[in-house]
Amino acid sequence: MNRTHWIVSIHRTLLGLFPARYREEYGEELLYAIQMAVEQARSRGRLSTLRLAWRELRDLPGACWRVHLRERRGMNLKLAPGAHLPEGPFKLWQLAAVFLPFTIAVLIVGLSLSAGEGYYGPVCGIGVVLLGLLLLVWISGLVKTFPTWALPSLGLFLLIFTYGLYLISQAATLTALSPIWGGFWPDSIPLRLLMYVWFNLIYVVIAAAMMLVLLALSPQLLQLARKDWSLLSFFFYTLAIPYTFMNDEFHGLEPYQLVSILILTSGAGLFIVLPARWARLLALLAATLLALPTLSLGLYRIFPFQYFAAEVASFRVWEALQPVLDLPALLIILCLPVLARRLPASYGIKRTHPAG
Amino acid sequence: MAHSTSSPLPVSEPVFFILLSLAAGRKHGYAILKDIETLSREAVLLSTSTLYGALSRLEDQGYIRRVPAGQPVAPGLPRKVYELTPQGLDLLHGEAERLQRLSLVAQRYLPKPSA
Repeated sequence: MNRTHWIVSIHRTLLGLFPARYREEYGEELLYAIQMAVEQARSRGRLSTLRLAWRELRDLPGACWRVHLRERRGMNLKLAPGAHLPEGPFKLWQLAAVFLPFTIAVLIVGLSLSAGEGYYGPVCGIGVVLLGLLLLVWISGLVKTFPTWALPSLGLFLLIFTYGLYLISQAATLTALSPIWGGFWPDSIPLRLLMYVWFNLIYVVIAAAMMLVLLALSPQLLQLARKDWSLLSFFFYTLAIPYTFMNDEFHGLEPYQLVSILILTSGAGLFIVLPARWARLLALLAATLLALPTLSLGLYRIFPFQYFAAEVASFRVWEALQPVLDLPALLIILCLPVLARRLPASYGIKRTHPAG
Repeated sequence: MAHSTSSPLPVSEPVFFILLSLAAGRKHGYAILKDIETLSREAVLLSTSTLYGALSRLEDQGYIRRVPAGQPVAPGLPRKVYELTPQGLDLLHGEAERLQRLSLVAQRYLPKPSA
């Protein structure tokens, strides 16, 4: 009867100490090799078999330890923030730069909470330092031509123009149309919602135009977008931040604002650890989809406690809807970079160099 | 040629012999083990755990790859074999050149053993 040799049996048992992936990949082959080695050693005699057993058992703990160590390193590397992005995995300062816009947003809510309290001054001091850091990230981000860690901060820079243009166009539309309904906004809710469909369209067009101009002006950004379009979505992601500060005439909204910013921060956190582009985009979309309705919920709940609530009670739903009304545009803007892949190869401003 | 600090050279003796064994053609693990014994004139006797630890590392680093064995294999034999990648071949050439240079320097400067 062909019995399994004890060296093979010990190996089969000790193989359980190796990581599962290694066992699945190499276990069967390793046992075949040890089986063959044992057979050959036995044909040479008992001493040869003992030598083989000594060699195998002596090396096994070290090999097992090294495989575990390598597996762990690989795992840590895969889970490290930014491991799947250019310039990743991120160093601590790069990670801090990624989260800087969100930290500033948290601080602004903190300022609002601390108004009239004794620690207003220190919070302001921290704010000045953070704004200085933001300026530093802007400058280094532009000098280093759009590194991944600077994208949210540079997106915040872009936001000043995009959101500014959007608000101007919104105000211009409402002013132009106000003689028709005799006020800044029409009284009818469906008409207001229809206006928002139009505003969403304007917002998307402005953001798309901004993206095309930026890609045309910066070959580095174009190259980055061609390599990984999800980075452009990350660039646009900070456009969701100002919504957390809308409706500032409301009091008691801060907890909802804070939760909303933390949801957006989690979206950014997921973005930098997820390996696939679509998964990264989904993380940003999901966070935006959760963050803005959180604010809406907050507005709806705190509305009755506002000093003007009794006068305009019928507008509770309308006021609560405000943060989510631009949501379709925001979601489309986050998805726009998918189209960057389809830009013709000749897209962008070509730099001409003098002959010679 | 000077190597940068990130250069994989020098490689360990077992790794050198694994790559050298695969330079002659595709092999499964046990065939590599036996080949190393022959190539090193039994100076390098690897245990299976050391061999597979090195094979998995070299595969992760892209110096070797596992491919299905070309023809139907006998029952019990591994269905996959290892082969050298172009990077693996470059690494082997690099190490062979390095050893050759060392050998030349040693031959030039070592005093001849007195008769």
